[in-house]
Amino acid sequence: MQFNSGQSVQSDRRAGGRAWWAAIMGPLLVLLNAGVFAWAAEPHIDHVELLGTNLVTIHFDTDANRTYALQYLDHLPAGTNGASSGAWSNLTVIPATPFNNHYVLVDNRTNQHRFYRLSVTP
Amino acid sequence: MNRRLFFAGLLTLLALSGVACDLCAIYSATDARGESSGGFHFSVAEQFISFGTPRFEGKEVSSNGDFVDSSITHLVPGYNFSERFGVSLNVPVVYRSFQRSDFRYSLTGPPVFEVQRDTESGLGDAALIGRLAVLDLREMKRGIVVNLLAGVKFPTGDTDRIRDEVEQTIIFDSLLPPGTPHDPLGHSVSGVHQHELSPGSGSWDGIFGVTLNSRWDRWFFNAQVQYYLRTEGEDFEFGDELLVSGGPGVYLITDKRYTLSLQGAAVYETMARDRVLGRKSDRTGMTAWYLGPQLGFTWGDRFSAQAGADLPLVISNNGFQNVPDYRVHGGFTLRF
Repeated sequence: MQFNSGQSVQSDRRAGGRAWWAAIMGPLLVLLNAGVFAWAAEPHIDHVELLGTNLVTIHFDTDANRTYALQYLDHLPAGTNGASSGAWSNLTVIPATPFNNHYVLVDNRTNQHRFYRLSVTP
Repeated sequence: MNRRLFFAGLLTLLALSGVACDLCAIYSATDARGESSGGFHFSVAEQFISFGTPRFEGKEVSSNGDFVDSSITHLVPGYNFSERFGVSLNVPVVYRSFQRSDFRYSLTGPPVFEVQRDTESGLGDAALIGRLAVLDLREMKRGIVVNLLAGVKFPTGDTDRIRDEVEQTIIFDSLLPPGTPHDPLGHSVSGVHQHELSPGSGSWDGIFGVTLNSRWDRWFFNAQVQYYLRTEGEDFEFGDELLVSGGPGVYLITDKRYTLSLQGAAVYETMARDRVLGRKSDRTGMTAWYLGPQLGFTWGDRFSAQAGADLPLVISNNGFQNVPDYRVHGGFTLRF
Protein backbone atom coordinates (compact mmCIF):
# COMPACT_ATOMS: atom_id res chain seq x y z
CA MET A 1 0.00 0.00 0.00
CA GLN A 2 2.80 2.36 1.01
CA PHE A 3 4.79 1.31 -2.03
CA ASN A 4 1.86 2.05 -4.19
CA SER A 5 1.38 5.35 -2.47
CA GLY A 6 5.08 6.24 -2.89
CA GLN A 7 4.94 5.31 -6.56
CA SER A 8 1.96 7.51 -6.87
CA VAL A 9 3.79 10.47 -5.30
CA GLN A 10 6.81 9.87 -7.56
CA SER A 11 4.49 9.67 -10.54
CA ASP A 12 2.84 12.90 -9.48
CA ARG A 13 6.24 14.55 -9.21
CA ARG A 14 7.17 13.38 -12.69
CA ALA A 15 3.82 14.59 -13.95
CA GLY A 16 4.38 17.87 -12.12
CA GLY A 17 7.83 18.14 -13.68
CA ARG A 18 6.44 17.52 -17.16
CA ALA A 19 3.71 20.11 -16.55
CA TRP A 20 6.34 22.62 -15.39
CA TRP A 21 8.49 21.88 -18.45
CA ALA A 22 5.48 22.09 -20.74
CA ALA A 23 4.38 25.34 -19.09
CA ILE A 24 7.74 26.93 -19.95
CA MET A 25 8.40 25.32 -23.32
CA GLY A 26 4.86 25.55 -24.73
CA PRO A 27 4.64 29.34 -24.84
CA LEU A 28 8.34 29.53 -25.80
CA LEU A 29 7.74 27.34 -28.82
CA VAL A 30 4.68 29.37 -29.72
CA LEU A 31 6.70 32.60 -29.55
CA LEU A 32 9.54 31.08 -31.55
CA ASN A 33 7.08 29.81 -34.11
CA ALA A 34 5.53 33.27 -34.32
CA GLY A 35 8.97 34.74 -35.02
CA VAL A 36 8.95 36.88 -31.86
CA PHE A 37 12.55 35.95 -31.03
CA ALA A 38 13.70 35.82 -34.64
CA TRP A 39 16.82 37.86 -35.18
CA ALA A 40 16.35 40.68 -37.63
CA ALA A 41 18.76 40.22 -40.51
CA GLU A 42 21.60 42.69 -40.82
CA PRO A 43 21.04 45.01 -43.76
CA HIS A 44 23.06 43.62 -46.58
CA ILE A 45 23.61 44.65 -50.18
CA ASP A 46 23.63 41.48 -52.26
CA HIS A 47 25.42 42.89 -55.23
CA VAL A 48 25.95 45.91 -57.44
CA GLU A 49 26.16 45.49 -61.18
CA LEU A 50 26.39 47.55 -64.30
CA LEU A 51 23.30 48.04 -66.43
CA GLY A 52 24.08 49.27 -69.91
CA THR A 53 26.60 52.07 -70.10
CA ASN A 54 25.10 54.69 -67.81
CA LEU A 55 23.40 52.79 -64.99
CA VAL A 56 24.14 50.50 -62.08
CA THR A 57 21.68 48.32 -60.19
CA ILE A 58 21.90 47.65 -56.46
CA HIS A 59 20.23 44.46 -55.22
CA PHE A 60 19.19 43.73 -51.62
CA ASP A 61 16.55 42.01 -49.50
CA THR A 62 14.37 43.74 -46.94
CA ASP A 63 12.58 42.47 -43.84
CA ALA A 64 8.96 43.19 -43.07
CA ASN A 65 8.07 46.21 -40.96
CA ARG A 66 11.48 47.91 -41.25
CA THR A 67 12.33 51.11 -43.06
CA TYR A 68 15.41 51.02 -45.29
CA ALA A 69 17.47 53.81 -46.79
CA LEU A 70 19.95 53.15 -49.56
CA GLN A 71 22.61 55.80 -49.09
CA TYR A 72 25.58 56.84 -51.18
CA LEU A 73 28.80 58.74 -50.84
CA ASP A 74 31.01 59.83 -53.73
CA HIS A 75 34.21 60.44 -51.78
CA LEU A 76 35.26 58.80 -48.56
CA PRO A 77 36.92 61.37 -46.32
CA ALA A 78 40.60 60.54 -45.83
CA GLY A 79 41.38 58.83 -42.53
CA THR A 80 37.81 57.84 -41.77
CA ASN A 81 35.67 54.93 -42.78
CA GLY A 82 32.92 57.32 -43.75
CA ALA A 83 30.56 55.83 -41.23
CA SER A 84 30.19 58.93 -39.13
CA SER A 85 31.20 61.63 -41.53
CA GLY A 86 27.57 62.73 -42.01
CA ALA A 87 28.11 63.12 -45.73
CA TRP A 88 25.97 60.17 -46.77
CA SER A 89 22.95 61.03 -48.90
CA ASN A 90 19.79 59.05 -49.39
CA LEU A 91 19.39 57.58 -52.84
CA THR A 92 16.06 55.92 -52.03
CA VAL A 93 14.08 55.47 -48.83
CA ILE A 94 11.94 52.35 -48.67
CA PRO A 95 9.01 52.61 -46.25
CA ALA A 96 8.18 49.65 -44.04
CA THR A 97 5.96 47.07 -45.68
CA PRO A 98 4.21 44.15 -43.97
CA PHE A 99 6.17 41.59 -46.00
CA ASN A 100 9.75 40.71 -46.91
CA ASN A 101 10.82 41.86 -50.32
CA HIS A 102 13.70 42.05 -52.74
CA TYR A 103 14.65 45.40 -54.24
CA VAL A 104 16.58 46.30 -57.33
CA LEU A 105 17.34 49.99 -57.34
CA VAL A 106 18.86 51.88 -60.22
CA ASP A 107 21.44 54.64 -60.02
CA ASN A 108 23.16 56.75 -62.66
CA ARG A 109 26.87 56.31 -63.29
CA THR A 110 27.81 59.91 -62.81
CA ASN A 111 31.17 59.37 -61.13
CA GLN A 112 34.12 57.04 -61.47
CA HIS A 113 33.29 55.57 -58.10
CA ARG A 114 30.47 55.69 -55.58
CA PHE A 115 30.04 54.00 -52.20
CA TYR A 116 26.70 52.55 -51.06
CA ARG A 117 25.39 51.50 -47.69
CA LEU A 118 22.05 50.32 -46.40
CA SER A 119 20.60 51.94 -43.31
CA VAL A 120 17.68 50.31 -41.49
CA THR A 121 15.30 51.29 -38.71
CA PRO A 122 14.27 49.96 -36.30
CA MET B 1 -74.95 37.33 -31.69
CA ASN B 2 -75.99 37.88 -35.28
CA ARG B 3 -73.99 41.07 -35.33
CA ARG B 4 -70.95 39.15 -34.05
CA LEU B 5 -71.36 36.53 -36.76
CA PHE B 6 -71.71 39.25 -39.36
CA PHE B 7 -68.46 40.95 -38.32
CA ALA B 8 -66.65 37.63 -38.01
CA GLY B 9 -67.76 36.74 -41.53
CA LEU B 10 -66.76 40.17 -42.82
CA LEU B 11 -63.30 39.89 -41.23
CA THR B 12 -62.86 36.42 -42.72
CA LEU B 13 -63.80 37.73 -46.16
CA LEU B 14 -61.41 40.66 -45.80
CA ALA B 15 -58.67 38.35 -44.62
CA LEU B 16 -59.24 35.97 -47.52
CA SER B 17 -59.32 38.78 -50.01
CA GLY B 18 -56.18 40.07 -48.36
CA VAL B 19 -54.46 36.73 -48.88
CA ALA B 20 -55.56 36.65 -52.50
CA CYS B 21 -54.24 40.20 -53.02
CA ASP B 22 -51.03 39.30 -51.21
CA LEU B 23 -50.40 36.58 -53.74
CA CYS B 24 -51.42 38.89 -56.58
CA ALA B 25 -48.91 41.40 -55.35
CA ILE B 26 -46.18 38.79 -54.96
CA TYR B 27 -47.07 37.32 -58.33
CA SER B 28 -46.86 40.70 -60.04
CA ALA B 29 -43.66 41.55 -58.18
CA THR B 30 -41.87 39.04 -60.37
CA ASP B 31 -43.13 40.92 -63.41
CA ALA B 32 -42.11 44.25 -61.90
CA ARG B 33 -38.55 43.02 -61.70
CA GLY B 34 -38.68 42.46 -65.43
CA GLU B 35 -37.59 38.87 -65.01
CA SER B 36 -40.21 37.03 -66.95
CA SER B 37 -42.37 39.39 -68.90
CA GLY B 38 -42.10 40.58 -72.47
CA GLY B 39 -41.11 44.06 -73.62
CA PHE B 40 -38.58 46.72 -72.76
CA HIS B 41 -37.13 47.24 -69.30
CA PHE B 42 -34.49 49.54 -67.95
CA SER B 43 -32.46 49.15 -64.78
CA VAL B 44 -30.06 51.33 -62.88
CA ALA B 45 -27.90 49.56 -60.30
CA GLU B 46 -25.22 50.99 -58.09
CA GLN B 47 -22.55 49.12 -56.17
CA PHE B 48 -20.18 50.81 -53.74
CA ILE B 49 -17.21 48.94 -52.27
CA SER B 50 -14.79 50.29 -49.71
CA PHE B 51 -11.36 48.68 -50.03
CA GLY B 52 -9.75 50.03 -46.89
CA THR B 53 -8.32 47.02 -45.14
CA PRO B 54 -4.84 45.82 -46.14
CA ARG B 55 -4.21 42.11 -45.79
CA PHE B 56 -1.11 40.05 -46.36
CA GLU B 57 -1.80 36.40 -47.17
CA GLY B 58 -5.21 36.66 -45.49
CA LYS B 59 -4.02 38.36 -42.30
CA GLU B 60 -4.92 41.96 -41.58
CA VAL B 61 -1.89 44.24 -41.30
CA SER B 62 -1.44 47.85 -40.32
CA SER B 63 -2.59 50.35 -42.92
CA ASN B 64 -0.40 52.96 -44.56
CA GLY B 65 -3.49 54.92 -45.54
CA ASP B 66 -3.96 53.42 -49.01
CA PHE B 67 -7.58 52.83 -49.97
CA VAL B 68 -10.03 52.56 -52.85
CA ASP B 69 -13.64 53.70 -52.71
CA SER B 70 -15.15 52.11 -55.78
CA SER B 71 -18.50 53.12 -57.23
CA ILE B 72 -19.94 51.43 -60.29
CA THR B 73 -23.27 52.53 -61.70
CA HIS B 74 -24.74 50.04 -64.15
CA LEU B 75 -27.18 51.30 -66.78
CA VAL B 76 -29.01 48.29 -68.15
CA PRO B 77 -31.51 48.63 -70.99
CA GLY B 78 -33.05 45.32 -71.95
CA TYR B 79 -35.67 43.69 -74.08
CA ASN B 80 -37.55 40.47 -73.49
CA PHE B 81 -38.63 38.97 -76.81
CA SER B 82 -40.88 36.61 -74.90
CA GLU B 83 -41.28 35.37 -71.37
CA ARG B 84 -38.53 32.88 -72.04
CA PHE B 85 -35.95 34.86 -73.97
CA GLY B 86 -34.43 38.30 -73.52
CA VAL B 87 -31.27 40.34 -73.90
CA SER B 88 -29.72 43.09 -71.78
CA LEU B 89 -26.95 45.56 -72.40
CA ASN B 90 -24.94 46.45 -69.31
CA VAL B 91 -23.15 49.80 -69.50
CA PRO B 92 -21.13 50.48 -66.34
CA VAL B 93 -19.95 53.92 -65.32
CA VAL B 94 -16.98 53.70 -62.98
CA TYR B 95 -15.83 56.20 -60.38
CA ARG B 96 -12.98 55.36 -58.03
CA SER B 97 -11.42 57.53 -55.39
CA PHE B 98 -8.13 56.18 -54.10
CA GLN B 99 -4.75 56.57 -52.49
CA ARG B 100 -1.85 54.32 -53.42
CA SER B 101 1.74 54.48 -52.21
CA ASP B 102 4.17 52.78 -54.52
CA PHE B 103 7.54 52.89 -56.23
CA ARG B 104 7.75 54.10 -59.78
CA TYR B 105 10.63 52.55 -61.68
CA SER B 106 12.43 54.06 -64.63
CA LEU B 107 15.44 53.20 -66.73
CA THR B 108 17.02 56.57 -66.25
CA GLY B 109 17.40 56.83 -62.49
CA PRO B 110 16.48 55.58 -59.05
CA PRO B 111 12.84 54.59 -58.44
CA VAL B 112 10.68 57.26 -56.90
CA PHE B 113 8.35 56.48 -54.04
CA GLU B 114 5.15 58.40 -54.54
CA VAL B 115 1.85 58.68 -52.74
CA GLN B 116 -0.90 59.26 -55.28
CA ARG B 117 -4.31 60.45 -54.12
CA ASP B 118 -6.63 60.80 -57.06
CA THR B 119 -9.78 59.62 -58.78
CA GLU B 120 -10.29 57.38 -61.77
CA SER B 121 -13.53 57.49 -63.68
CA GLY B 122 -15.09 56.68 -67.02
CA LEU B 123 -16.98 54.13 -68.98
CA GLY B 124 -16.33 50.56 -67.93
CA ASP B 125 -16.54 47.40 -69.99
CA ALA B 126 -20.00 47.04 -71.55
CA ALA B 127 -21.57 43.60 -71.75
CA LEU B 128 -24.35 42.05 -73.81
CA ILE B 129 -26.12 39.26 -71.98
CA GLY B 130 -28.79 36.88 -73.18
CA ARG B 131 -31.34 35.15 -70.95
CA LEU B 132 -33.14 31.90 -71.59
CA ALA B 133 -35.74 30.58 -69.15
CA VAL B 134 -35.31 26.82 -69.06
CA LEU B 135 -37.90 26.33 -66.32
CA ASP B 136 -40.86 28.62 -65.79
CA LEU B 137 -43.61 27.31 -63.54
CA ARG B 138 -45.71 30.09 -62.09
CA GLU B 139 -48.94 29.88 -60.20
CA MET B 140 -50.61 32.26 -57.81
CA LYS B 141 -49.34 30.53 -54.68
CA ARG B 142 -45.99 29.24 -55.83
CA GLY B 143 -43.52 29.46 -58.63
CA ILE B 144 -40.07 28.57 -59.79
CA VAL B 145 -38.08 30.15 -62.61
CA VAL B 146 -34.64 29.04 -63.74
CA ASN B 147 -32.75 31.21 -66.22
CA LEU B 148 -29.56 30.51 -68.10
CA LEU B 149 -27.42 33.54 -68.82
CA ALA B 150 -24.62 33.90 -71.33
CA GLY B 151 -22.91 36.93 -72.73
CA VAL B 152 -19.85 38.78 -73.86
CA LYS B 153 -18.04 41.61 -72.14
CA PHE B 154 -16.41 44.08 -74.52
CA PRO B 155 -13.16 46.01 -73.93
CA THR B 156 -14.85 49.41 -73.95
CA GLY B 157 -13.32 50.77 -70.75
CA ASP B 158 -10.17 52.82 -70.46
CA THR B 159 -7.04 50.75 -69.76
CA ASP B 160 -4.31 53.36 -69.20
CA ARG B 161 -3.75 52.03 -65.67
CA ILE B 162 -3.21 48.48 -66.90
CA ARG B 163 -0.84 49.62 -69.62
CA ASP B 164 1.18 51.55 -67.05
CA GLU B 165 1.32 48.55 -64.71
CA VAL B 166 2.53 46.29 -67.51
CA GLU B 167 5.13 48.91 -68.48
CA GLN B 168 6.40 48.95 -64.88
CA THR B 169 6.71 45.15 -65.04
CA ILE B 170 8.74 45.40 -68.24
CA ILE B 171 11.08 48.01 -66.70
CA PHE B 172 11.50 45.98 -63.50
CA ASP B 173 12.17 42.83 -65.52
CA SER B 174 14.94 44.61 -67.42
CA LEU B 175 16.72 45.44 -64.16
CA LEU B 176 17.05 41.77 -63.23
CA PRO B 177 19.47 39.27 -64.70
CA PRO B 178 17.69 37.14 -67.31
CA GLY B 179 15.91 34.14 -65.82
CA THR B 180 15.71 35.57 -62.29
CA PRO B 181 12.54 34.14 -60.72
CA HIS B 182 10.28 36.90 -59.48
CA ASP B 183 6.64 37.91 -59.37
CA PRO B 184 5.48 39.95 -62.38
CA LEU B 185 4.06 42.50 -59.94
CA GLY B 186 7.25 42.40 -57.85
CA HIS B 187 7.82 46.08 -58.56
CA SER B 188 4.75 47.07 -56.54
CA VAL B 189 4.66 47.43 -52.76
CA SER B 190 1.14 48.85 -52.57
CA GLY B 191 -1.97 47.00 -51.51
CA VAL B 192 -3.80 48.89 -54.25
CA HIS B 193 -2.69 47.69 -57.65
CA GLN B 194 -3.16 49.76 -60.76
CA HIS B 195 -5.25 47.13 -62.55
CA GLU B 196 -7.77 47.34 -59.70
CA LEU B 197 -8.31 51.02 -60.48
CA SER B 198 -8.72 50.54 -64.20
CA PRO B 199 -12.27 51.15 -65.51
CA GLY B 200 -11.67 48.66 -68.33
CA SER B 201 -9.99 45.28 -68.56
CA GLY B 202 -8.89 45.52 -72.20
CA SER B 203 -10.17 42.01 -72.82
CA TRP B 204 -13.10 40.22 -74.41
CA ASP B 205 -14.55 38.06 -71.67
CA GLY B 206 -17.25 35.43 -71.44
CA ILE B 207 -20.05 35.67 -68.88
CA PHE B 208 -22.07 32.61 -67.90
CA GLY B 209 -24.69 32.21 -65.23
CA VAL B 210 -27.71 30.48 -63.80
CA THR B 211 -30.41 32.16 -61.74
CA LEU B 212 -33.07 30.53 -59.62
CA ASN B 213 -36.14 32.38 -58.34
CA SER B 214 -38.57 30.32 -56.32
CA ARG B 215 -41.42 31.22 -53.99
CA TRP B 216 -44.01 29.59 -51.84
CA ASP B 217 -46.74 31.78 -50.47
CA ARG B 218 -44.91 34.65 -48.71
CA TRP B 219 -41.55 32.89 -48.73
CA PHE B 220 -39.01 32.84 -51.48
CA PHE B 221 -35.50 31.63 -52.23
CA ASN B 222 -33.31 33.21 -54.86
CA ALA B 223 -29.86 32.11 -55.95
CA GLN B 224 -27.48 32.78 -58.79
CA VAL B 225 -24.19 31.48 -60.05
CA GLN B 226 -21.98 33.63 -62.29
CA TYR B 227 -18.74 32.70 -63.97
CA TYR B 228 -16.49 35.23 -65.71
CA LEU B 229 -14.13 33.66 -68.21
CA ARG B 230 -11.31 36.13 -68.68
CA THR B 231 -9.01 36.47 -71.63
CA GLU B 232 -5.86 38.48 -72.17
CA GLY B 233 -5.94 42.13 -73.14
CA GLU B 234 -3.16 44.75 -73.00
CA ASP B 235 -0.74 41.94 -71.96
CA PHE B 236 -2.79 41.54 -68.78
CA GLU B 237 -5.28 38.80 -67.96
CA PHE B 238 -7.56 39.08 -64.97
CA GLY B 239 -8.13 35.78 -63.17
CA ASP B 240 -11.40 33.98 -63.82
CA GLU B 241 -14.10 34.76 -61.29
CA LEU B 242 -16.82 32.60 -59.75
CA LEU B 243 -19.64 34.18 -57.81
CA VAL B 244 -22.39 32.27 -56.01
CA SER B 245 -25.04 34.14 -54.07
CA GLY B 246 -28.50 33.63 -52.70
CA GLY B 247 -30.64 33.01 -49.69
CA PRO B 248 -34.13 32.81 -48.29
CA GLY B 249 -36.51 35.74 -48.01
CA VAL B 250 -39.99 36.73 -47.00
CA TYR B 251 -42.56 39.24 -48.21
CA LEU B 252 -43.05 41.53 -45.21
CA ILE B 253 -45.73 43.72 -46.78
CA THR B 254 -48.03 42.66 -49.56
CA ASP B 255 -50.48 45.20 -50.76
CA LYS B 256 -52.46 45.32 -53.97
CA ARG B 257 -50.19 48.14 -55.16
CA TYR B 258 -46.85 47.35 -53.58
CA THR B 259 -44.73 44.72 -51.83
CA LEU B 260 -41.75 44.86 -49.50
CA SER B 261 -39.50 41.86 -49.02
CA LEU B 262 -36.49 41.04 -46.91
CA GLN B 263 -33.86 38.50 -47.88
CA GLY B 264 -30.82 37.13 -46.10
CA ALA B 265 -28.19 36.77 -48.79
CA ALA B 266 -24.88 34.94 -48.62
CA VAL B 267 -22.22 35.55 -51.26
CA TYR B 268 -19.24 33.38 -52.13
CA GLU B 269 -16.74 34.98 -54.46
CA THR B 270 -13.44 33.62 -55.68
CA MET B 271 -11.02 35.22 -58.13
CA ALA B 272 -8.08 33.39 -59.62
CA ARG B 273 -4.62 34.90 -59.90
CA ASP B 274 -4.06 37.47 -62.62
CA ARG B 275 -1.46 37.05 -65.34
CA VAL B 276 0.91 39.78 -66.45
CA LEU B 277 2.80 39.18 -69.70
CA GLY B 278 1.62 35.57 -69.46
CA ARG B 279 3.05 35.05 -65.97
CA LYS B 280 0.84 34.36 -62.98
CA SER B 281 1.10 36.83 -60.10
CA ASP B 282 0.98 35.48 -56.54
CA ARG B 283 0.07 38.96 -55.38
CA THR B 284 -3.43 38.75 -56.84
CA GLY B 285 -6.52 36.60 -56.38
CA MET B 286 -8.76 36.16 -53.38
CA THR B 287 -11.69 34.22 -51.97
CA ALA B 288 -14.33 35.81 -49.79
CA TRP B 289 -17.60 35.04 -48.05
CA TYR B 290 -20.12 37.79 -47.42
CA LEU B 291 -23.43 37.90 -45.60
CA GLY B 292 -26.01 40.64 -45.58
CA PRO B 293 -29.63 41.71 -45.80
CA GLN B 294 -31.40 42.74 -48.96
CA LEU B 295 -34.62 44.69 -49.18
CA GLY B 296 -36.88 44.45 -52.21
CA PHE B 297 -39.70 46.76 -53.13
CA THR B 298 -42.17 46.61 -56.00
CA TRP B 299 -44.80 49.12 -57.04
CA GLY B 300 -47.45 47.68 -59.31
CA ASP B 301 -46.08 45.44 -62.00
CA ARG B 302 -43.78 47.99 -63.64
CA PHE B 303 -41.44 49.27 -60.94
CA SER B 304 -39.13 47.47 -58.57
CA ALA B 305 -36.25 48.56 -56.37
CA GLN B 306 -33.78 46.83 -54.13
CA ALA B 307 -31.02 47.68 -51.71
CA GLY B 308 -28.62 45.58 -49.72
CA ALA B 309 -25.29 45.28 -48.01
CA ASP B 310 -22.60 42.61 -47.94
CA LEU B 311 -20.41 42.30 -44.89
CA PRO B 312 -17.29 40.14 -45.25
CA LEU B 313 -17.20 37.07 -43.03
CA VAL B 314 -14.02 35.45 -44.32
CA ILE B 315 -11.46 36.81 -46.76
CA SER B 316 -8.46 34.88 -47.95
CA ASN B 317 -6.16 36.76 -50.30
CA ASN B 318 -2.81 36.21 -51.96
CA GLY B 319 0.07 38.57 -51.30
CA PHE B 320 -0.54 42.12 -50.14
CA GLN B 321 -3.89 43.57 -51.14
CA ASN B 322 -6.52 45.95 -49.89
CA VAL B 323 -9.72 43.94 -49.46
CA PRO B 324 -13.35 45.05 -49.04
CA ASP B 325 -14.52 46.41 -45.69
CA TYR B 326 -18.11 46.28 -46.87
CA ARG B 327 -20.22 46.50 -50.01
CA VAL B 328 -23.53 48.25 -50.45
CA HIS B 329 -25.71 48.02 -53.52
CA GLY B 330 -29.05 49.21 -54.72
CA GLY B 331 -31.03 49.88 -57.85
CA PHE B 332 -34.36 50.00 -59.58
CA THR B 333 -36.02 48.54 -62.67
CA LEU B 334 -38.69 50.09 -64.84
CA ARG B 335 -40.72 47.90 -67.17
CA PHE B 336 -42.38 49.50 -70.14
